[in-house]
Amino acid sequence: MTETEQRVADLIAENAGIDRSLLQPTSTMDDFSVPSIAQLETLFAVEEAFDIYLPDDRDKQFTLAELAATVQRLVEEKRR
Amino acid sequence: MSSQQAQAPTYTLAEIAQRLGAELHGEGSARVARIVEPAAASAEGDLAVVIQPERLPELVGSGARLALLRAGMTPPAQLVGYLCATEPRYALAQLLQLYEPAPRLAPGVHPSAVVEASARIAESAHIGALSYVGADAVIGEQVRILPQVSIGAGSTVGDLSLLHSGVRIAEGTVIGRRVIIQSNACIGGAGFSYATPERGSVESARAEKEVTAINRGILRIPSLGRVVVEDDVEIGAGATIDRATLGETRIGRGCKIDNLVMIGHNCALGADCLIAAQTGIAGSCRIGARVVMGGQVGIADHVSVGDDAVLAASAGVAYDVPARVVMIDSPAVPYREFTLRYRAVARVQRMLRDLQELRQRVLRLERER
Repeated sequence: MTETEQRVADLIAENAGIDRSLLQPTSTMDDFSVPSIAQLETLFAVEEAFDIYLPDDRDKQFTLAELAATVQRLVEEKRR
Repeated sequence: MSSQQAQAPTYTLAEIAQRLGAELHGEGSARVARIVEPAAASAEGDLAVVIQPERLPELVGSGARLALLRAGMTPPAQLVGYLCATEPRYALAQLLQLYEPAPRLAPGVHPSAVVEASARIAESAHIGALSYVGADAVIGEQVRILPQVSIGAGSTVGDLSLLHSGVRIAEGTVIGRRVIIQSNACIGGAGFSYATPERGSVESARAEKEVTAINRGILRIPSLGRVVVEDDVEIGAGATIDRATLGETRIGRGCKIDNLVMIGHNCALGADCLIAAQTGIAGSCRIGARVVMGGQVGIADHVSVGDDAVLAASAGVAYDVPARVVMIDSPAVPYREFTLRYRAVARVQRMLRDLQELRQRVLRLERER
């Protein structure tokens, strides 16, 4: 996993109550039956941690790697 | 006549794989005697079920030798045989149906049951102790009626239906074939329907959004209709379905209704709806086919819900819902709209902080100019 993926995985594990060791880049929160509201709260935690605003299409199902890639892109855009 | 739990049959792992359409690995000849949680696996014939990834560690180091796993899981080395299912919950449903112990009930009427002379009871039906079957009621082939059930006059119970202890079926109710009703459900009670002699508080509240008239005297509107429960419906413990004022309250074929659900008079539910516990549907609602409701959904009277709509737990539905829409929150809104609102509220604090920072920067820039 990339460094961003590691951090995103930590946040998902902590906020969605998932065993960190089970998270793979291809994992989705739906794989672990995380309720939709808890998924939203987890995304807010990711936004807070990286000081970004995720786009509003994030309520679609996405993998950890996809989320991390979006986070990486937004962080880089912010730096420019 | 006797009533007791039948012993469940046993199957080999290969037989189960074939019935479930699951992928078989290892010893297909292993005989499965029990279906268990991983921690409870102790005997040779125990098959442990692990369909959630986070529960896989429970299997490692347990006494399980046989397992049902979600496809893609890595099986622990101790397993001598296992099944992989791509739709694990569906596979679990099929598996547990194979091992579900059915009550073994001999045909006949228990001596303590009371059956009115004009009732017609199929020879293969079982009527349990202290049950009552009213005049002109018709009980179909292989119907199993457990103790302390009452079947009102003129009701019919279709072939192969199973009514658990304490079920109440009011007069004139029609129960289809293969219907399962859990304990203490009440089908066909009178509707909650009243009228006032003149315009009352509800009418004024609806029209003017304030109370300009009050209720003086409340008159019950009798319920002369009936309830029709179509084939393959399952109704949970303590659920209540009221009969119609004049026509029918109808529960469509294959609907599954959880414990403590309340369905008001004159409602019509399409086929294959799933309704979770403590949901309340007020009178005269039209619910489409395959509608799903989470727990504690509330639907106001005379509302229509389109086919395949999904109402999330605790949704409060006051207006018609189109087909195939996911509704959430109270008052209920489409899920997409809800997430936008939820995000907006959740982000307010950060936005205020950002605004404060921007304000400080503007002030600094103005001072520097």
